[in-house]
Amino acid sequence: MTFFRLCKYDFKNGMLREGLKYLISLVLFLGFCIGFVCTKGSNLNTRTFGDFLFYMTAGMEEYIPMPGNVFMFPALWMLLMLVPLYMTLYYPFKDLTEYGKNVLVNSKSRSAWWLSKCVWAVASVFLYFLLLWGVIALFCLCGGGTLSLGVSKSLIYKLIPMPVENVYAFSGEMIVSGKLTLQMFLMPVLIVSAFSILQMTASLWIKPFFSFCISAGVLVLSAYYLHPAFLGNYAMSQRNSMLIQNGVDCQIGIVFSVVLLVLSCAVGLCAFRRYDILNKE
Amino acid sequence: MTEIAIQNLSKTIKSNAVIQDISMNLKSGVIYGFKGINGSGKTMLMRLICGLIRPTEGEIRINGKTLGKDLSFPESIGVFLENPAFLDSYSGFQNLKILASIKSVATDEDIRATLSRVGLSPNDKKKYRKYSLGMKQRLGIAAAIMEKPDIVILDEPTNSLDADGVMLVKQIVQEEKVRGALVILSCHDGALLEGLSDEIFLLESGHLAEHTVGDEI
Repeated sequence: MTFFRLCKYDFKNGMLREGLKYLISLVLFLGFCIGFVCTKGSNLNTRTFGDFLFYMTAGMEEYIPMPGNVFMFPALWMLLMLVPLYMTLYYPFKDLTEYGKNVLVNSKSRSAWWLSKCVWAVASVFLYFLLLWGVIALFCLCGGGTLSLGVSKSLIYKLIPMPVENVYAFSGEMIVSGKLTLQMFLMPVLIVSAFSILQMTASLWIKPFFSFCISAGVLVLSAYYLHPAFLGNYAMSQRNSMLIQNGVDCQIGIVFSVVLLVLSCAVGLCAFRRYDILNKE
Repeated sequence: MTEIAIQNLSKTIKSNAVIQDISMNLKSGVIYGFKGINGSGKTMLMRLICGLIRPTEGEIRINGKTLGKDLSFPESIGVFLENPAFLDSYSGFQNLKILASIKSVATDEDIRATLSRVGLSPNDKKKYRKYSLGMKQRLGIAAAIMEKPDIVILDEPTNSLDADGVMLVKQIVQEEKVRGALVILSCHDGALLEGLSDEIFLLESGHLAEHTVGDEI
C-alpha cells in the first residue's frame, strides 16, 4: 500500500510539477518534425507517421574511421535520447535532501521509496515518448500525411546508401514490418528507461551530473562503434539488422536493456538500503 | 511505551569519526536534550536515531528491534531536522496533507488542529514559498507532531522564531511529554534546553562527554 502511495506522490511531484520540461520537449518535437519536412521528408509522396518516427530514431549509419571520413555527430538522435535522461536526473536526489526526506521517514520503507522512484523514472520516459508520438500524429494529420506505420522506401534509401536485400523485397513504396515498428517504438523507450535507472543507481556514489555524463558517453560510443555491446545501437533504427548487413538485432536489444534495467534497479535497491541520507547533492 | 537502546554507536564519514562509541537508553515521557557546539555530533546522532544514516559500529534498538536490520525507520517517529523543506507551490495545509497521505494516520481535522497548535492558520492559502522563516519553522514542527508519534525529534526548533514562537515551542514540547512521547531536543539556547529537558547529554567531538539528570541540570 505504501508503495502505491509513494508512486502517487512521485507522479504528482516528479511529473506534474515538472510540466515545464515536458512543454520544452513539445517545442523540441515540433522542431524535429519541421526539420524533417524541410529536409529528408521534403519530396516524399506521402509522409507517414512511420517516416517521421524513423527519421527521428534513425541515429546514423555505421561510422568507419578512415582518412577523409569525418565522424558526424548524430545530434538529433542524441538530443532525443539525452533530454529524457536529463529530465529524470535530479528529481530523486533533490527529493531525498528536501521534502522527500520526510516522505521517506514517513513511508518507513527504503525499498518502497526506491522502487517507486524507479517506476517514476520509467513512467516519465514513457510519457516523454508518448508526447513525441502525439506531436508526430498531430503533424501527420495537419500536414496532409497519414498515420500509417509504414516507412517510405525512398526515405530509407536517402538515409542508408546500401541497405540489405530484404528492403528491396518489400513490394510497393512502403516497408511495413512489425520488426521495424517494434524497433522505432519500443527500443528508444526501453533503452532510455534502462539508462535512466542506471543513472539513478550511479548517483548513489557519484554526483548526478557525472552519471548523466556516463550515459551520454555510452551513447556517443554507440554512435561511433557499431557493436552489439554498446546499447545505444539498438535505439538507432538505421542500424537494425533488418536494414543493414552487420546491424543489431532488436530482440537481443530488448533482452540487454531489460537486463540492464532490472540489474540497475536491484543494485540500487541493495545500495539504497544502506545509503546514508545526508544534506548533499 | 517506547524504549530506545543505543549501544556503542559509532559513525565514520569519509574517515572522519562523527560519532564515537556512544551508549544511552531513552524512554517515553521524558524530554532528552542534546547539547554541544556546532559539529559536536548532535544532528548526526539524531539522523542515526531516525534511520536516515546507518551506524558504522554499534546498534540502535527500538523496542527490541534493531534499526537497519529489523526496521528501516522507527515505526512511529516525527522528525524536524535542521532547515524545514516543503513543496514551494503548495500551502502549509496541502504540504502536510501530502505527507499525511503516505501513512494515512492523520486526518484533515488532525492537520488543521496541528496547524492551529503551532500558530499557523489552517485556512491560509498562502504558498510555502511566500512563508517567512518563522512560518516555515512552525510548519516543520507541525509536520513532526501531526501524527502524534511515539518519538519526536526536534533539531534546533527555535531557530528563526520570535519570543512568542519560542514560548510556543516550549509549550508544545511539554505537551508532547505529557502525551507520553519520547522527545529528543537540541537547541543553541542553553537556558531553554536546560529549562525543558529532564536529561541532558553533552556531546563533544562525537563523544558523549556528560550526562546530567533531573536536579543536576
